[in-house]
Amino acid sequence: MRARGFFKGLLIFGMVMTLAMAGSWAHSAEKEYPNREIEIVVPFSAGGMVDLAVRVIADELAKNLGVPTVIVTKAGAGGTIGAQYVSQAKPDGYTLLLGPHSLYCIEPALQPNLPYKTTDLVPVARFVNYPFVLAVRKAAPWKTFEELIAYAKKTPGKMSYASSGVGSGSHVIVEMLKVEAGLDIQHIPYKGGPGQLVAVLGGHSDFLYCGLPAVLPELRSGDLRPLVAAEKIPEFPKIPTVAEKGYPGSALASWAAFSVPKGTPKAVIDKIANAVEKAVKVPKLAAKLQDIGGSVQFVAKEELGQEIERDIKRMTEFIKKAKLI
Amino acid sequence: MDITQHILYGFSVALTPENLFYCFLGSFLGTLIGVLPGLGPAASIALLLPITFNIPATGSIIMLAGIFYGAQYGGSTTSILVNIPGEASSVVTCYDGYQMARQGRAGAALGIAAFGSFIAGTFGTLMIMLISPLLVLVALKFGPPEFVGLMFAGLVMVVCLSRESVLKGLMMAIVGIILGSVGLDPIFGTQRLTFGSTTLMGGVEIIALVMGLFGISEVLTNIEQVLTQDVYNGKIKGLLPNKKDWQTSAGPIARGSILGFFLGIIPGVGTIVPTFISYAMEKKLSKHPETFGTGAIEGVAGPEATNNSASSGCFVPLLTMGLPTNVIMAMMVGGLMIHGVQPGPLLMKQHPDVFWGVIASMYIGNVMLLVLNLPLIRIWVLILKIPEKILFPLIILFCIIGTYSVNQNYVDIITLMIFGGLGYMMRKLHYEAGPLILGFILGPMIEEGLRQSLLMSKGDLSLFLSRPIALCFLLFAFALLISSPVIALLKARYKVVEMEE
Amino acid sequence: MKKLQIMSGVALMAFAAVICFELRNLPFGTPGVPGPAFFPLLLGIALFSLALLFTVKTALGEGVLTDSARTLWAGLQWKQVPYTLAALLGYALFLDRLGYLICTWVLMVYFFWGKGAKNKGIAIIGALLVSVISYVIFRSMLKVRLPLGLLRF
Repeated sequence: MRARGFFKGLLIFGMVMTLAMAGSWAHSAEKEYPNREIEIVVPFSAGGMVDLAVRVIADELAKNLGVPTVIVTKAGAGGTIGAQYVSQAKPDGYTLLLGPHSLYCIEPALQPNLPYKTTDLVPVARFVNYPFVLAVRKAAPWKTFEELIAYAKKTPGKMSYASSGVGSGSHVIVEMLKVEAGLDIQHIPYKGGPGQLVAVLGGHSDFLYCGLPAVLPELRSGDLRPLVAAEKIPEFPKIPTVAEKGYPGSALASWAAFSVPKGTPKAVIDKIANAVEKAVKVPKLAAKLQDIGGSVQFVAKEELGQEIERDIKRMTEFIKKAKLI
Repeated sequence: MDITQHILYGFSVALTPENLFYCFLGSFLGTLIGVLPGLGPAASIALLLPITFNIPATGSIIMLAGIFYGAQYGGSTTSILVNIPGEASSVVTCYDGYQMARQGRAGAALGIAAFGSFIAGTFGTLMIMLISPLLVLVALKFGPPEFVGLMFAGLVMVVCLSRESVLKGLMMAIVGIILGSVGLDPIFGTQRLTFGSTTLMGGVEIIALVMGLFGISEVLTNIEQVLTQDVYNGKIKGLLPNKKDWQTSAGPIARGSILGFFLGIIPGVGTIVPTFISYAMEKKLSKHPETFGTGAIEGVAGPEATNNSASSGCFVPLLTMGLPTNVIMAMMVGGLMIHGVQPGPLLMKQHPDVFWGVIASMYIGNVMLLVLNLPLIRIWVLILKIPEKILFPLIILFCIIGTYSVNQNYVDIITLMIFGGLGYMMRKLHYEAGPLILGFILGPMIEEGLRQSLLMSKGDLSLFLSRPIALCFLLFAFALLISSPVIALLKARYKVVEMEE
Repeated sequence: MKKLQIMSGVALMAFAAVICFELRNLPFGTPGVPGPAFFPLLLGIALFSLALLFTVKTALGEGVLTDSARTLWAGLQWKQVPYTLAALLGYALFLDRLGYLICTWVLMVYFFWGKGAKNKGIAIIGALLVSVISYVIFRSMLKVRLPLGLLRF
């Protein structure tokens, strides 16, 4: 009796599946893109910088494209899980990946066995830029960047810095600084932005060098003291840049960019890029992005693709040189 | 301005019809999410976040917070009634809560869980109000070495309280730790035990593991029964805890509230681990430790209080410094930022309506939840009357939905299935799931903390000796490790002496 | 039961062995700077030893647990267990292809099936109801994204 029940179930499964498969052949509307909701995959857990950026822009995009946008979180493994998912999705423009610079440019250089090829993802547009800022906690003895560097030179191997994880921007950028300035500072990876923030605030690591959004509240309140930044920050004009201080090489961009699976038709890519461009021109949106610590910067398609390729090369060379793997 | 003025202001904000509605909505949704096995507040909050963009900042945080601590209230319901945790933090409630239900005391268990949660939640909110800034300073002192100490002590506590042989508990803990190491190495980022699977690169999904080990395995154990269990056809004696229950539970609730709150403040601890620690603590402190696991109400009161005050504690770093302690708090940070409200040390000054409004609404929320949950006890008990043939498939369905809602990855359902089968076999062969889960959660944290500490000290283990907080925890853990066999030995000796007389 | 306990011990030993084997290529590091394989390998070895200890102890010890393997499953419809697990596996594999509604419907039909000949129709309809209602509740109230599979409307 039980066995019969089981096989009956299997039979039904089989029948339905066959029917369904047959049905799916007939189904296919070549209506104009887009005609149903678009899935934006965010490969980091909710609340992070990428997540914030996408939530700001998702509504505008929906308006511009005329269809609802849905945000799907697929976190893990430095963003590569979400990236792999998108790289294998149907290239019809209904699945987008929104990833940070570290995912597009650093992971390929760092991880030898990625489950996808960088060419499997076609960049569409990037729209927000986060400056990197180096900060120490309020009670730290270093008031200027020079003091920090001098101390680091005097005490090789004694100082430590906190990063949000191996292969993140906050890791690589300090390594670049170390190479350029000839410093020996211990790297301690923590879990994400909050982890590295807590470490520095609590005095367990000496400094961090990360994207602005993660530390904006503390910078504004004074709990963190910024010593130098990768580029000029409008809200904090007094912070010098690394170029001014003589280390122009240790600058890293951190942005968020949309990409689609390889094979997506050019017309679709153009439509998405245009929608993004239109969205960032809205003043309210730009203001919101600034509120969370980012600034609007629009680069798209081929230009973006070349930028990424250049950066991957740069990262690969640097990682080999600094023996980070 | 003194506290009274602040909190009155907060109430004036929280008691507007708008915010009351959001509070209610959040609490209600939270309870629902908590009751449904598998569906957790994290996934739901992530999905509901966009809705809150059209609501003012205060209202959205009130609602999201309501979901979060509401889920802690609801989670115990299914744990008690069908031995399936609604939340990962309600796993411990299954141990004694379900046994109480089988003795016809489901009402008392649910009641004490609700009241304990209320007391703890109110206590937590009170503490947030009074001493947040101080607490944060202490919490920040927790660096990697302190973490190692705390987590290790927690792990030792739980392994030591295994009901069956300690050897089996230890083996389960190690299996758990190994499962927890699957994924990327925390320090070097290399792939570890992933067997080439991309999904495994992110590690084994904890919801799938917990729901499989506790939920699916429970259903499987029931499915094979030929006779239906008529345990609940008998009259449910008393829907509320009686005086004796209150007396026994007073201590555990008090201890649980304090323990949960302070552990919840520490970034990264969460609400699951404190409940296990509370259970272990109550068992050790009880005069009748052998009753634990057979329906001791302390085993329900303590952990339930703990998970509610822990969820309050989680808010402290968020409200005072803008520091999220877990994923849910991180989402709240995001939510606030999108509304143009800067979470951080200046929140109190710049947006007192948000700060005090949220705190006031936590009080209101706790009351609402108590009011919601008590009458609901009758309804929940009625759910038990649903024929099992319908109830259990539904439970499986909810576990599936809950698991899928986290990553939208069908592989997690396979994980659910695998651990369901594993949990079933473990029950048959008397292996315990508790140490496994705790090993799974704590093991990687201990490893990461240990390796970070070694990086900090350049390979020097004496770092632990120079940090007082860490040292305390480690000594405590070792004391526990040694004490159990020693006490057992002494007991055996004593028994022999007794017998000889 | 004793035999089963011994088997469980051996299973644990096998698990530990597989883990250690899988870790063989990862760098071990030094106690000062542990590599990725350091802790898992040590744990694998510890587990192996403990499992060995357990297996030997159980084999040599008296049968404290007197119930034999047969009584463990006597009188129980234990075949339901692997069938249920198989159904879950099938569900997982077909979920993305066929979508939530279809898969859930089929799964529920499978569960409700054994109610007897009279109720088969009710089982099918009930399953459909469960599937649709749950979809609606979760989609609209809690915004859980359940795959539509083929039914993209």
